[in-house]
Amino acid sequence: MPLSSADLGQGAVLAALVAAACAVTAGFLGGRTGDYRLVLAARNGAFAVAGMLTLAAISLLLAFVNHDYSVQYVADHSSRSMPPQLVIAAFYSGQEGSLLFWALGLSILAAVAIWREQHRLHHLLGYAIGVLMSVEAFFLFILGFVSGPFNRLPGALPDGQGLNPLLYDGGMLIHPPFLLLGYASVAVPYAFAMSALLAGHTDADWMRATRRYSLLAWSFLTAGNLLGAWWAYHVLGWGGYWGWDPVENSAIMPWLAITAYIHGVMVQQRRGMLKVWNMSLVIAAFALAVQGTFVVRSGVITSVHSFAQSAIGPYFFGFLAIVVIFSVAVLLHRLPHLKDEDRFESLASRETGFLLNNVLLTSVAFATYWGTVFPILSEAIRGIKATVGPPFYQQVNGPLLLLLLILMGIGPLLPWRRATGRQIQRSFVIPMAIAGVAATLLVIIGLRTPAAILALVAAAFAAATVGWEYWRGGRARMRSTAEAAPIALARLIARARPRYGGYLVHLGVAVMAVGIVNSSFYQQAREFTLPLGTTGSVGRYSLTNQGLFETREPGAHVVSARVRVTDSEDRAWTLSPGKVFHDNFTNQPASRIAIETTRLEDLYLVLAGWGDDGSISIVATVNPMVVLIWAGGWILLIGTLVCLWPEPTHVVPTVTVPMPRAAPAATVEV
Amino acid sequence: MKFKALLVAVMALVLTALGATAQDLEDEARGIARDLRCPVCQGLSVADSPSQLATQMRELIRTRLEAGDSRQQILNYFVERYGESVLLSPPTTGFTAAVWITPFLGVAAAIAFVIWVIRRHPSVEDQAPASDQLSDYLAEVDRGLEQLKDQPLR
Repeated sequence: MPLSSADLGQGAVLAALVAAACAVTAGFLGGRTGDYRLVLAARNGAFAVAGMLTLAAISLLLAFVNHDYSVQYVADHSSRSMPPQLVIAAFYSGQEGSLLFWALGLSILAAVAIWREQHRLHHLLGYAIGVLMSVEAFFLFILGFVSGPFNRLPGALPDGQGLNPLLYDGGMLIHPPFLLLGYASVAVPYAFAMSALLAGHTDADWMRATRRYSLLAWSFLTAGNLLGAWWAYHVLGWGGYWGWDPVENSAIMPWLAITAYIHGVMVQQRRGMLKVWNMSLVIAAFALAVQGTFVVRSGVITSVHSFAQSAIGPYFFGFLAIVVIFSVAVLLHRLPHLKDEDRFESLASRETGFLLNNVLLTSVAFATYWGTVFPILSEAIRGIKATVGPPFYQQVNGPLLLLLLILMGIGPLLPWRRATGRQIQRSFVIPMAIAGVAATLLVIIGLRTPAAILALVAAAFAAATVGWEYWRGGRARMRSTAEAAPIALARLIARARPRYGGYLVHLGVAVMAVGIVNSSFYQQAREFTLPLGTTGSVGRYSLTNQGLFETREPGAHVVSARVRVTDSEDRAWTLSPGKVFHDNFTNQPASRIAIETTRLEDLYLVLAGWGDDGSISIVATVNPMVVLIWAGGWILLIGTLVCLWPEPTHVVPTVTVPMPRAAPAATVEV
Repeated sequence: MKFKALLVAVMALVLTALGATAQDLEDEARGIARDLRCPVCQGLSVADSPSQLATQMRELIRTRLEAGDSRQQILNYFVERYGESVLLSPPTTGFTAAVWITPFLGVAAAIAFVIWVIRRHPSVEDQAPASDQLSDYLAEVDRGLEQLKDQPLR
């Protein structure tokens, strides 16, 4: 058989494995002996791994783009009739390709992190490279010998299988890359944390680096999860966006651990406390990220995401066990270095708020973990399968998340160390008043579900806290610098990005909470069979069946219903929910959902079936305020970017807030 | 004339009542379907699944509700046919009670841990808080606020 780009790819993976093994050896030796030449060798090895993996990825891409169906992975996941962007996205649609994507993502992030930190954190670099490249080496071993994307078939097939119909969507272009990058990027803060422990330099240096990279990992994971929810809502056709499916649970758990870490580390930076706890969170986040990759790509747990099954299970389980045992051993070994420098002084303090935040986040993670593994336990212990589904998570995690939402309003208003009664009074009056107004309004407009009212008021309180903090800071700046309001606000944010960016993230979460609460409590669904020309109703909408029509698309044909929708105010739309039959998967039709958004409310139509007489079965759902979830996601993204935006390299430390001797004349006039 | 008006009023009332019961029944049926796992799907409830079996199960739930069966009777019926794993919300009795109790034990343990952290002995007495540019800046903002707090707002 002639050589193809796949052979080049296979060679590059093996070369990367050798380079990674060298980097591991040089990194750990360099870290131990302090010989910087070894560290430099390890650094170059890590760069070589990134280069080789880029080459491997390009080879696989070429195989896809050239329709090289002598490569098994390409033949299994793409076909000639697929649109080009999906042929490229098919790269990570199966197990082998997504593991390659993972390894590639980590190698590039690792190379960038090593490059950026090589001077500032040179004393931690050796061990950090050793840890990062050990992780790489494991993935490269799997790619090279167990689950290879470049395996060849005896001969080339004329055409490929094509993508699984559920993946046949624009969401495929963005959701998997973000989530896989999210999983991979957790390895970077983990590596710096472990190197700090291994090297015994557990001072503030590693924390600064780790905090930044964990924020990056957090944003990838956040984007991955949100895009997954958005995709599920638009494609899967059950009218929801989050199903507490095992794969979703596996994706949310590392996110919860990193969220806890990002908050907990502020206590450590400011007060030198919670050191062991923060280390444990980083370790847990990485272990959960490995587990997430493993669950999403191994098929060990039944889930809507089970697109790939193979023999990687035992390897991943072994790797996970090694990660946990190694990390805990190192942590225990360095326990004497991790003495807290201070103590908690009062219950009413910022640090107690952060501690409670961590307790709640880890409790949610624990309950989610427990619910995910319980079916396996049940089958192992008594041989009876048990199902732990959405009702469990709603009842257990729901109240915990509500408490978190309330705490999100309280925490930022509490001062460090201890709050005096007067401080509390001054900070809380306005946000509490706004929450009170919100509660009254909700009852007046007719809300009667106590849990929903409580959650919405909590969201209003949290949003009011953010607004109040901005106002307070902006006002102080305006008075002391006599700047105009917009300039004062912009400079305020620019001077303390992590703080004010973080508040924006809180605001985004509050907006999302409003969407989640409303769509969970006030969803209306009807299911009906409509003979041709008849009308059914759901909520304030009437739906009329105006007949079926069939269209042909490349590689698929689509059956759609023409549904005339009128609402209570006589506005009218024509919607066309349908089913897509892909030529290679005619027994697995995918839904084409019709969504019409008016006044923050989605009318969500799924065509469930049809008869020869032109009758249609429609599942119609009215989802209030789902759009706020996506809007909140955008706010959150902007907030994250504010946090992540690099500080100018030379901050002028002298000009902070010039304190006027007397307040500007304009402000003292009554 | 009066009689006719009365008739219309009564009919309107009956129709609203019927409409209301139809929506109530639909909600009740959906509530039950949400607690049942679609046996032929992967990770979808009967309420959410587009599969034929789930559609039939939803119809069966409606028929049984109309016939006067209670929620529990309907759930039991499906457990007899498909086994306990058809329930998305495991029973709170017997072995599966563990799934419900453990998270609460976890939260209790976490709270106990927090109380221990807050109340344990300090290892170093009253060290000054770590200071960086950001906290300096924020401290100054706070000081500015302190200065201004007694001045009347414009």
